[in-house]
Amino acid sequence: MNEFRPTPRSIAAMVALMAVLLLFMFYPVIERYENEDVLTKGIPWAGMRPAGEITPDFRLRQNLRTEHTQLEPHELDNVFCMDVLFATYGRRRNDGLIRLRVTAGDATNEQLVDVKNLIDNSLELICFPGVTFAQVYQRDAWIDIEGVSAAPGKSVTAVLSSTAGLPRATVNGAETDLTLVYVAKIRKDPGLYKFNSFVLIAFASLILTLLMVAAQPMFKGRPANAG
Amino acid sequence: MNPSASAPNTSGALQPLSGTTRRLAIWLFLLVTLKSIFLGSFVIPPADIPDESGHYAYVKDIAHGNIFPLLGQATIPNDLWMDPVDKRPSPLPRTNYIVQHPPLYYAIAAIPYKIASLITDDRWYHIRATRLVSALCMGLLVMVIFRTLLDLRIEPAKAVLLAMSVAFIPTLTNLSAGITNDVFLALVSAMATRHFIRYLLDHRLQDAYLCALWLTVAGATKMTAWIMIAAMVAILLFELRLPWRRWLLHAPLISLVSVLAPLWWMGRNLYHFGNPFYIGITDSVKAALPHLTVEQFIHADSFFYPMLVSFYGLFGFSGYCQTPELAHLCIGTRLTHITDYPFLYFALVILVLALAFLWLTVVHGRQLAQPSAPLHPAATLQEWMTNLLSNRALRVVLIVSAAIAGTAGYLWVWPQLHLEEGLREEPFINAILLIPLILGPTALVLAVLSREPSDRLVHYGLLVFVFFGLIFLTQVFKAYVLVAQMRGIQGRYFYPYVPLLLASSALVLEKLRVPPHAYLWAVLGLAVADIYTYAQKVIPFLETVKV
Repeated sequence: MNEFRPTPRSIAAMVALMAVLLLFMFYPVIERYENEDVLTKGIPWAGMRPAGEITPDFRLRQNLRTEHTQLEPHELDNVFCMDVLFATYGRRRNDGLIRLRVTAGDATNEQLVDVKNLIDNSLELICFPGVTFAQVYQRDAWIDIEGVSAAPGKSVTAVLSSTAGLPRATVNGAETDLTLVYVAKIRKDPGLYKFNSFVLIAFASLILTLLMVAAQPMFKGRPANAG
Repeated sequence: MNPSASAPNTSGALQPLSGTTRRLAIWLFLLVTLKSIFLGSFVIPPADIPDESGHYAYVKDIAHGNIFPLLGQATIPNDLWMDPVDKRPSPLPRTNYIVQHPPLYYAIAAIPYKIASLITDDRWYHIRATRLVSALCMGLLVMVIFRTLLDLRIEPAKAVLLAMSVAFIPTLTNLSAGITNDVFLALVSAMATRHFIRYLLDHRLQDAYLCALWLTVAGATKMTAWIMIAAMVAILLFELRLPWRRWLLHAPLISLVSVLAPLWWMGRNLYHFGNPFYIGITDSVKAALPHLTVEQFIHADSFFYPMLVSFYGLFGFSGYCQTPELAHLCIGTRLTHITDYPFLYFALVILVLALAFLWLTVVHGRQLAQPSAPLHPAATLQEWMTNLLSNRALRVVLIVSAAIAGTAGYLWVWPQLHLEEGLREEPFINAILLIPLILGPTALVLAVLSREPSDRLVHYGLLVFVFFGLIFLTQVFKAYVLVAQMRGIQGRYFYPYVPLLLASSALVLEKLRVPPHAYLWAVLGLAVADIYTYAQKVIPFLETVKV
């Protein structure tokens, strides 16, 4: 009987061809996976109060220490980000810059935010390249918020919460019994998810190839399959 | 078309299996297993399989010596997947409703868990080791279905393709990556199905007992399998080819073997709860809709569409919750359904299969309405019934009546079904899934009248499937009367019936001489749909829902 005998080389070539075909189909989908922000800590909005208008003479300092996480060890080195809650004093047209600086050990990074782009009572996502979550995790880290060029009557305010049991903010050097409302995040690299998809495509390439090879005897006339 | 002439050689020798095909099949089963292990290790987060917290807590209870945790007392600890911020025991522990299930799967899954926990304290490995059981069951499931199709004398190449088709059902591949009894149950049911088919074809008593044994194993896994036990054992006894004295000995014994585990579990439930079928719902719940009619029920809410969607593509559960600090945001489940191209392609495949069943039923019905060959002395209840109904006019009346009953049922039910606003494909899905309703009564008649075992197998597969579907629908109706909501519409409950239905489908395709290209393209399409589902929907979903 004529048994169908694919060679390893022909199977390898088919797997490669199938992988190319599947990548052609799915790479545009996988490439669109976006950076994902994963929450690591959140301050409840309870008992909200304005911190004060962020003008050049204003300075707010908040401890960001995070004690717990279930992130995988390799995820700790992702960029540290924060959603900070701002209020714009109603629909007032504001203008100017404010500065947010995160300091964690030797690492520091500051970002300037244009207050005219901020929305009233909304969280604004700010990432701090150069500061990783690992540098904030179980260590003292600080955020400083201060005005740069936003004039009085033209700036915004951060929001403080009265939720108990949290590290307290200092405003203009004075201790408060309030905490800055923010959500700590990491900006996660979607590389892991892309890798998972590529591995699944590799599985699919192998399976599709072997299925096609296994199906060959059906088309060769019986009984090519007889051993 | 002459299906009898094209019937597979079910009374002849097995199709020869070449070394190449055998090796390819083994590689495919290994790849299916490895893919499930990969999904369970790196893609599907812990707790993202339906009810996985309850399943895992049950496994851990057994591994720690609590062999039979009691429903109402067993709990799901709050440090199951991660250490909570508050280390104190939860003041309101969650009751583990999963311990309503018999313990077989959990006892087996406790073995790799125990081994892993002896080797390392790392929770990551404990979870993945426990998940291995489902992954291994997935590969074995495909292999058992393949062997079953070979037993049916299906050409090996076609058997590989058909068996592999179950590995491209995304919900099933998702479950195979997790801690759940569903894939194990599907495997055990496949084993029962294999011996069921072997008995029907070869009438070796050993296969009848092995079928009963696997059925009781299924009954020791999940109560939904008890319906399968009733259906399969009834058919086994109907087909039991023995002199009547031996029949009277073996029929009760086979029945007893098949219900050993369910009887034990019922007795336990009766002892503890006073109800053999207790699953934690008290009888004292006041019905929300006590006067609801079936007509009102099917008009009130969708049933078939969500059932097929969850059969094909349901992902997510509570694995999105990643951080103990934000546990207050982790309330309820987060799910996604596959309802786009892959699902529609799957529905198309189901439609083609349903039409093939319909066509073969018409052909069989016409054949059995013809004058038949002289009768042989009856050696089984089935043959006795066939002889009893040998009068041609009687056969015609039975076949036509069954066909009219099925068609009338279809025409009455389909327009009554609820349609979700804006869901354009729902009427078509309803129309496809109701085809078994047309075929059910006819399948019953044709199974009794057919003389060829492979013909009867076609109808038995459909009958068992319809039987379970009707009982399932009845249970959903009862729940709806109680709580005025569709509850428990989970397509995965049908997985134990897939091996038999797939075997019946293989016979239908053989009898209708479906060309090989159709097998290949249908299965390749399902495979591409599966990878599309993961790349396009599942992985981005898992990425975006994490808290």
